Amino acid sequence: MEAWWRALAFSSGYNTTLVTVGAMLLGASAGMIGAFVLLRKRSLVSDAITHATLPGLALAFILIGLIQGDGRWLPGLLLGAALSSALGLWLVQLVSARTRLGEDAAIGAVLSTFFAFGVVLITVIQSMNVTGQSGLTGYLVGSTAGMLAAEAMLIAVCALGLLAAIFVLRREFLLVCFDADFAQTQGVNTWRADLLLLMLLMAVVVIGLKVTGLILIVALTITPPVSARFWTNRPPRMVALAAVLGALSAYLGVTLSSARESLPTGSLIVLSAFGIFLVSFLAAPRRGVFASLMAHQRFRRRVHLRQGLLSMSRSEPIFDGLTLRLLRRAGHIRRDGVATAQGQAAARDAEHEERLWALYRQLFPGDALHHEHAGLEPISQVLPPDAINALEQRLPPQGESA
Amino acid sequence: MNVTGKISDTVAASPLAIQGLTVSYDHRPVVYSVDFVVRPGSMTAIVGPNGAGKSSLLKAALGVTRRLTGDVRVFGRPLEQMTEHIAYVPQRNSVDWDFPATVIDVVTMGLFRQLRWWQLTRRRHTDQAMESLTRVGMEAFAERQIGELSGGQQQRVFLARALVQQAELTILDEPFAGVDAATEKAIVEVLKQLRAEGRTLLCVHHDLSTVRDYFDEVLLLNVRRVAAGPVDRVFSAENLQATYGGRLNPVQLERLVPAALATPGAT
Amino acid sequence: MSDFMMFSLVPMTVAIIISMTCALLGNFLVLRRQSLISDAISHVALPGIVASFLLTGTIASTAMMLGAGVSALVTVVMIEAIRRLGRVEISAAMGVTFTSLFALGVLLLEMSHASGVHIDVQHALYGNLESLIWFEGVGLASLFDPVALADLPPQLARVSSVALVVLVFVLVFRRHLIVGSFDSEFAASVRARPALVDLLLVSMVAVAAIAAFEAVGSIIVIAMFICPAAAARLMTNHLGAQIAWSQLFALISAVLGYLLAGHGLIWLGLEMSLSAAGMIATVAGLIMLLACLWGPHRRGGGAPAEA
Repeated sequence: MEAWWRALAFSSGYNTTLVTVGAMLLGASAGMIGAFVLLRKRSLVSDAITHATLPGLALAFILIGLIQGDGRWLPGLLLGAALSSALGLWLVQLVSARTRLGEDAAIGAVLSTFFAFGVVLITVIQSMNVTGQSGLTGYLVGSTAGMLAAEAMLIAVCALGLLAAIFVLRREFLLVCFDADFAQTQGVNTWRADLLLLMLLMAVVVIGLKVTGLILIVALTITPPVSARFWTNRPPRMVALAAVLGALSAYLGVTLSSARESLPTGSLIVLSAFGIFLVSFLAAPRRGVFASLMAHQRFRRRVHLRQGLLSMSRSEPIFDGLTLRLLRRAGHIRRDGVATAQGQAAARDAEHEERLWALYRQLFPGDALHHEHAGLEPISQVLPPDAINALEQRLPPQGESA
Repeated sequence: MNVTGKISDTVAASPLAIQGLTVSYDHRPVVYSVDFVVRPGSMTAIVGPNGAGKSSLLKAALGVTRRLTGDVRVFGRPLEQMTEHIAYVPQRNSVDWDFPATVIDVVTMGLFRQLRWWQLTRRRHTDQAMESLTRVGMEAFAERQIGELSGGQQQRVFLARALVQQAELTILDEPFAGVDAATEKAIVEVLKQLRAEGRTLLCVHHDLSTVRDYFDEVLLLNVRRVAAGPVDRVFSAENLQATYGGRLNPVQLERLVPAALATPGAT
Repeated sequence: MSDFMMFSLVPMTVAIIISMTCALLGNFLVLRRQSLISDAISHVALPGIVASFLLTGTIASTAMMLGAGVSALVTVVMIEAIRRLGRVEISAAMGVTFTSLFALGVLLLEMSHASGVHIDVQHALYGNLESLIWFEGVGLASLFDPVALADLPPQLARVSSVALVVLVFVLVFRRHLIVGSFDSEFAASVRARPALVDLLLVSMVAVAAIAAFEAVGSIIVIAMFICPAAAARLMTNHLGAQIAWSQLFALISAVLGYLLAGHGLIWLGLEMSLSAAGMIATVAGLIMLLACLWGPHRRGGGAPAEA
């Protein structure tokens, strides 16, 4: 616990602090780019990108190992990862554009077969006389423990560069995500924007390999953006919030893992991100589950009650169970289904309001379109008194209706 | 007054009776409190502007999507018990036309209810399907891939799939959208034949100019029911203006509605 | 021959059976554009096994399969909940779910290491076909010897029963699957229960994935769901023919992949063997690539044409 507090306050030593900051920058850039990808509805393409890095990693490892005996040289490995990932991405685009197969099949095929080939290469490595092999598994699940200061620096710098690039391109991306066709008419090359987006995604993935590992960097590009989505409807805010939540997840995860030696960093970062997601999913106002369910129930009850009262005033039989229950509970009908005096009055009022609204829609059809809930809200809360008066005077006597 | 009551005779005779149907999306009603009773043996159109909830009304009534409130009865009984009396022809764009199926395959899908899993598709089933295909003029295309068909041909195949179900009520969602003139004529013929056999038709219709020619009843819908009843009485300038939010211009209206109904106040 | 019987017959048969089973289901996944559900389910096999080990203390196969089954169920429920209640797009819902569960699995794994017992992550991810040795398989005669047959690795029987279950499912629900995949609104209107059939299909995918992962590992199983079926889709416009092609491609991938892994390098003069599961999936991927380049129906009919 003590160790965690120290790490949280950035006072666990130079290395840990550097790693924490680097991871936070990574989390922010992953969250940001992931937000755009989410808006483009292609979240799982990051899964293809990450799994496609394995053969490149392995090949690079083999080459480096043949040259210098030990396969571990971060820049070389990351370059290999980037190249095979780019190839995989190219194949995904090709398959989904040139064949009748959907993007889902293209992504799934690339991610699994590239990964499989990477596994084959790993068995080759296992029978080679090259050291550093166990480090390779670090790329699967991530490990910041034992990360060199230089490596952490590299990651931090690259992540910063990515953030800058995303910031520069943000308007273009936002336009394309919102309405690709419109963007096209504004002179924005959507194809190029998509390509840039995916390349930045790939860069984030490759850099993040060491921190969270291959399998889990996907989470950082998906979960923080999804969480951000619950708090805001506006894309620019969503992107910014995704960056913040991504950095927060990384912060929590890295500091937790430095507090206890044996805990895997990647998992803790992802689980922190999931925790944040859970809170957002449940508690966010309006889009969160609790808020949404309550609003839905309220709406449902109002509609049922209103329709029940209208049926009463028109002497139509009511068959719906919920409507009957609500009417009973409000005291509008007795247990045996007979209307009470209160209920009859309420029904008359409801019918009167309905007729006022109908008249309003007839006279001012353009205005009426703005009041979508007309009929569910009392007319006195929507229209000013003089307008209501005018309507009352124009109301034809009962018996004539469309 | 007792609110719990018996079902009226009109409702009991109607192939589709909707009471208080509300469909909402995101706390916003797309269909609000619609009451509508389809007259048996009629050819009824549902018209209204885009986004007026016409397709949503059908899908919710049929149980394809969820409804917030509403009572739906088929010949007086709850819809869930009576689905074999209704044939549904959805919009064409909801389907993947690249699917590996021939025309006859698709029409045979209409026989889904009759074919249990242990039963093979026999000659008599294919014969039934071919019969329906012939009624819509597509018998020569039976072995063709559906992806090779034009819009009009696809619509005919969809109609054949419904015909093979031999239902009392056939519901079609924009059957004439994007089809050629010959197909439109052919489909109208088939529908009129069905009506002559005593069956009922209900169509979401997108073309106001043909409502008077094809249909005898109409439901004007814009989230709410604006008006419903015989075309001669209900398809008036006033009702149309109310349905389309005042957006129809006078020239359009003149063409749609004969002079007798053009003066406001006539309902 | 005796070598083949003892070391290769069972692994190859298991590989063939599992590939063909996955490919059969894969046909529908590819048609419905639901391929990535296999991605999600495969990833959650790991946390399921780890959880079951932590709870039961044993790494017996039944416990593992049960654990994987439960985690698949949890996954599907979570994805649907996030999608429906949160109004989140399906691939994002899948991404959040399976990455979080996988992370949980890795965490639990590390914690269980601390308690001194070892679950082999490698095998869960990459599979273990090479270990399915039939010690009593000394010759052709062993195929007819009940005593020898009793010694067959249990994975063979497991995989065969799963294959049977999947086959029965597809047979019984063939019309539901076809109608629901083609036009789900129409399917709902004729009470073909598209939502229920969807759930059953996903359950079958989970069952097949769990049975498969024991042999070929969880990540590679995705290739067997998608690649043979996708390749088959590009070969023909008839569903029956497509299914047949998918079975053929699955068979070839299994046999060729296994042989290349075991003997490929030896033929090249090197004394080592490669991951059989990895090789099988790679071959499947290559077949799909060839189909994408030269398949007779690689470009389809497409969207509805205008009159």
